[in-house]
Amino acid sequence: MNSAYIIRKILRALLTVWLVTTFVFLILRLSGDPTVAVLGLEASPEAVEAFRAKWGLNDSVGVQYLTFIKNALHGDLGLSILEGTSAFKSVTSRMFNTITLMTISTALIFVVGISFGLLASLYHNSFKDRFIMLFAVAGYSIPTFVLAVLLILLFSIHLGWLPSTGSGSWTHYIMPVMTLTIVESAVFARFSRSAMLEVLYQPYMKTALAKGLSWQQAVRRHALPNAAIPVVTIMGFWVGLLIAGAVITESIFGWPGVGRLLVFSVKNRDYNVVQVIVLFISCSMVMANLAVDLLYGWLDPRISIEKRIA
Amino acid sequence: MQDTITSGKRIQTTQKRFKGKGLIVGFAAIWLLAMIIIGFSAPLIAPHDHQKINLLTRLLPPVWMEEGNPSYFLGTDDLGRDNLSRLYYSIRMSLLVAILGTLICAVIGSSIGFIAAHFRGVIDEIVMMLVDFQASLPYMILALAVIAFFENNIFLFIGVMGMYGWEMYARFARGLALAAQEQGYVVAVRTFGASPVRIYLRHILPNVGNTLLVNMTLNFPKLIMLETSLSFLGLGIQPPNTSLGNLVGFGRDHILTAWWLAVIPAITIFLTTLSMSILGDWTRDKLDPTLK
Repeated sequence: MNSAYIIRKILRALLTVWLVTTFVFLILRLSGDPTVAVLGLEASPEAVEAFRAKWGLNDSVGVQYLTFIKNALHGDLGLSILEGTSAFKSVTSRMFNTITLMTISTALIFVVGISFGLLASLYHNSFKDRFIMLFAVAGYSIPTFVLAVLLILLFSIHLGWLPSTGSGSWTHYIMPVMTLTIVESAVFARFSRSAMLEVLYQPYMKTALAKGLSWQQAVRRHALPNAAIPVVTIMGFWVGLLIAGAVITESIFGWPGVGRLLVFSVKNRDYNVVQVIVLFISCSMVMANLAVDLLYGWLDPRISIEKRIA
Repeated sequence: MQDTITSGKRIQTTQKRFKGKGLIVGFAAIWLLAMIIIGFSAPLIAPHDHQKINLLTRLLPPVWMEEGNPSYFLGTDDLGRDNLSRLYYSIRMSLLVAILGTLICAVIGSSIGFIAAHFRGVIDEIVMMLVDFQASLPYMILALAVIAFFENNIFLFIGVMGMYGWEMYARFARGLALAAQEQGYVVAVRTFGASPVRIYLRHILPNVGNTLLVNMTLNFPKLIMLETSLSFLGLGIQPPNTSLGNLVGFGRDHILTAWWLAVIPAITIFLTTLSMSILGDWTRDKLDPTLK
C-alpha cells in the first residue's frame, strides 16, 4: 500500500463529490425555477419578483453556480425555501433518526444475512441450502414498499400490535427495521453464500483436509478468511448507503428522517435541501468506497492494487 | 460438504439433489407468460373502460366477499373504476416500461463498453470513471432528482429507467470485448478487412451475448422494482396512466377499509419480480455458470 495510491484514491473521491454536486446543481437549475411550486399560480407579480430576487434566480446559471460554490466553501449551503431556516440544519436535525434506524437495521442485516449465507454454503445443494435460498430470492425480489404495506396490514391493522407511522417509541422501530432487514439481508445471504462457495471448492481446501485438519478448522482457518474479502467489500458499500438506503422505508412509515425529507423536498422543489442531502449522500458513499479500497489492500495483500479490478 | 470436497465433485454425493427446482422454474415461467399475455391483450380482455368513473359504484369489494358485484370481479376503487381493468392496464404499463428500459439500457450500456474497449486510452479512462461514478451513487437518488425537477412525462421516465444499470453492461461488454479482441477469430476477420462495427456486431456480440443476456434477465426485476417504487411515491407514472406502483400507492390510502386495493397489485408485483429473478438465476446457471 503506497501513499501515491492513497492520494490518488482521495483525489478521485473528491472529484466524485464535486461531479455529483455539480450534476445535481445543473439539474435543479435547468429544470425551471421553483417560484410557481412555492408561491402557487395566483401569486402577485411583485411577490414573484421579490422571491426571484431573494433566491438569486434572476442571475444566469453560471453566476448562480459560482455563488453556490463560493458559499459552499464558506460552509453556507443556503436556506430551505420552505422552512426559511438553514438547509444544512434542517437536514442534520433529521440525521439522528435516520442513523439510529439504519444502525439497528444494519447490525441485524449483517448478522442475519451473513449467517444464513454461510449456513447455505456449508450445506451446498442440500435441502437446507435450497430452502434458505428460496427465502433469499423472495426477500431479494420483494420491493420494499410492497413488504412494508403487507407488514402494516398484518401488524397494524389486522393484529393491531404495532403503530404504522411515526417514531415516538421503541415499538415504532420494529416495522421499519423488519422491512429493511428482510429485504437487505437476502442480498447479503446470496452474496456471502456465493463468496463461500467460490472458496470451498478451491484446491487448498482439499489440501487442508488432506493434511489432517478437521472440517471446522479447515473452514475457520482457510475458507472464512478468504471468503471475507468480497463480503467486506459489499458491507462497506452498504454502510455508504447509511443515509440514502431507507428513502422508501422512511416515506412509508412516516419516519422523520433524511430519506423522507428528500422525497418531500423533491416533490416541493426545495432545491437547497435536495442539494444538501445529495452532498451528504455522495460524501458518505465516497468515504465508504474509500474505506473499502484501503481495507481491501490490507485484507488481501496479494492484490496488486495498481491494477484495475474490473 | 466435507465428503463432497474430498470426493472432488461439486454435487453432493450423499444427498439427492433437490427436485422441486424444475417445478418452481416452471411456475415462474407460466406466471410471466400470463403477465405478458395480459399486458399485450389488456384492451381486449378488460371487462370495463379502465378510466371510466362511476360514483354510484364506489369501493365495491371483490366478487368473493359480501356485497361483491359479479360484473366487477376485483371490485372498484374510490372513483368507481373497475379494479380488474385497471390491474390489466397497470401490468401493461409496468411491463412496457421495464421491457423498454431493459432494451435501451442493454443497447446503450453495451455500446459504451464496446466503444471503451475499441478506442482504449483516454476514452476508456473517461468511460471507466463514469462507470465508477455511477456505481458509487444510488440510482434512485439521481432518478428522483431528474424526474421530479423536470416536468414528468412518460418519455423522460422511460429514458431515466433506460439508464438504470448501464454501468453493469458497460463493464461486462468492455471486459468481454477486451478479451475477445485477443481471440483468433477476431484477429482473422480483422485481417480480412472487416470494419470495426461489423466485427463487434457480427463476431464479438454473438460470442459475448450470453453474459449480456444474463445481465438483462437480472436487471429486469430491478427495473420493475424501481419503476413501481417511484410510481408508489407519486414520482413515476402519472395519472390518468397507471402502473402497479400507483395502484398500491392509492390503495394505501384505503388500507383500513379496503385492503384489497393495495394487496392485489402488491402481490402481483411481488410474484412478477420473483418469477423474473428465479428465471434470471436459472438462465445464468444454464448459460453462464462463471457468473455464479
